[in-house]
Amino acid sequence: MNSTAGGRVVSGRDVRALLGLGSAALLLAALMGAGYRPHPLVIAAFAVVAAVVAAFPASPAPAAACVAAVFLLLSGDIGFTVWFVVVAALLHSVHVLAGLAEIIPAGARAEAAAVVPTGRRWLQAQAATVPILIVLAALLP
Amino acid sequence: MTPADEREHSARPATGWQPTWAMRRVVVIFVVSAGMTLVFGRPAIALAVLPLGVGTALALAGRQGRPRPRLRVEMPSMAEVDGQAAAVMSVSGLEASEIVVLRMPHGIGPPGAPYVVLAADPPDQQLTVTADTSSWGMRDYGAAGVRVATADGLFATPVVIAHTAPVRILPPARTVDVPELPARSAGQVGAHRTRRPGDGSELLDVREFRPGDRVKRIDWRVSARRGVLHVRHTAIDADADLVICLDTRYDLTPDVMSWHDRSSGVDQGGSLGVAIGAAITLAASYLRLGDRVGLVDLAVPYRGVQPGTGVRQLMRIRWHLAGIVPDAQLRRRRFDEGSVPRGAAVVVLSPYIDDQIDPLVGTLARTHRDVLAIDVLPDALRMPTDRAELAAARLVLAERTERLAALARRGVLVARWDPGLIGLLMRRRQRLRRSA
Repeated sequence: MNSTAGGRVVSGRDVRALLGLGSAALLLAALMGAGYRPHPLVIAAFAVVAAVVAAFPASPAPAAACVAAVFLLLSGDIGFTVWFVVVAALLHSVHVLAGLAEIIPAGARAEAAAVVPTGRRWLQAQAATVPILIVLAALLP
Repeated sequence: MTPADEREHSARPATGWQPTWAMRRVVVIFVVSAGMTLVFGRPAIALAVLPLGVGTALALAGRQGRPRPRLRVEMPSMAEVDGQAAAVMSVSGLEASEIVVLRMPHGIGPPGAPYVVLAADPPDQQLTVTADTSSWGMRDYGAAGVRVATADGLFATPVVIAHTAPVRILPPARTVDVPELPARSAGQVGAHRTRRPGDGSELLDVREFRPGDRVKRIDWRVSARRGVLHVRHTAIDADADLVICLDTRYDLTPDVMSWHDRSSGVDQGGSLGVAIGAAITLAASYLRLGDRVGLVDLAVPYRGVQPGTGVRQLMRIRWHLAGIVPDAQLRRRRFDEGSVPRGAAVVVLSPYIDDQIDPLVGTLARTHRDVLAIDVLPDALRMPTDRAELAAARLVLAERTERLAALARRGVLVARWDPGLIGLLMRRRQRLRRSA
């Protein structure tokens, strides 16, 4: 069986860029969900953390960002709000993107088919849980 | 090990799945969130990791069996410089995997993209990629690697390495206009005229038949005209041998400070690179004229190529030259003058940096071989900045200049490598010899 370089490809740098954006969004959503007002210095700190997470996916940095988001939620006036649903969805997304970024090197061009099973599972998990969380956010105080 | 095995290097299968940072991250997040839920009585924290938990469960449920990735890289044994050369990378045993990450060897595949990530379906795949052949010599592309992952990257194998066999990339064979070589007096066949009477094709004169003349030599037309038997008197044809002597002990680059470094390959801008290019140009030019060309490696005489003719001889010489690697260990060896055939025109390609070359060229000149000493040291040298090193470098170069001048005084034609100039010098030498 011959493989060719044809077809759709995903760049390792694109995966890292998404991971960085997702990490920053996760921390920001956790901050908002906890009821804090975002300060420019805090946003700058989040950007630095996101850059570190994107640069070093095969390190404790993504786990630290995820745990920091959970702590932020815990520290504030947490409730079942839209921000809570966003944090839950982003937590999973950041984890999946970090897993892919750890495997796919930055300089690599990946066949889109290689990430399809992961994408399908991400979609299944989100489809199965996010509606439940939305319903809970609507019903619970 | 058969030659085929030598060209195909395969790697051992990986031992099994190993948890990645992603797996550790999942464990940490679950432990922290469960702990905080229990300690602070906040069920919302547990719900925040619900999508992550479901996604991880789906990923772990889809994991199947032990991975057995195998990687094999097949390389061509030789290639032309700037020619087509393809490496075939075969990956097999991908049944339990989802993502395959291939690390290309250096110089194989598109530049700037050392990694290729493939889907693991089908489980046996072949990837044909082009190899860089922009520089000649023994090209070692290094090792290729493969790593496979499954379950959203929660598990991956260690990198499986496969080494590539070195590829001999043949230098280009360019031709230049070169003068005719002097014919060997010992030769009996060949493309060159001599002045010796004998059984050849070149007519010297027509004379009366004498007892002992061969009947087939009778010129019937002249005999009929003159009424007496006449025979055609011819000169024998002869070979012309060119022996190219290559000093492979040194590969001196323009940077004088690097002359003491151990070189792992031929620097194409260095003295050995110039010498090899000159050797191939001379060999191709004279083989095209039908002459016999041989090659002598002055450092390792048994590694040379016996004089011969034709396209196969040129290929033999190119194959040999592509495999040359400068070896500092050879700098102490004595030259073997006996490996240069008598009666041949000899071209000695060397940087003439040490005095071991003197006895060889002197002996060749004394034994009436036509010797041309070609200096292949690069032109614009970068001298050291340190005063002591600068003085030492100047001393070495002054000795070299004196050595070349001494060779010229002994009747050796000394020149720098310039294809056009070499032809002119050799023609002038022939005219001088004829007039003498």
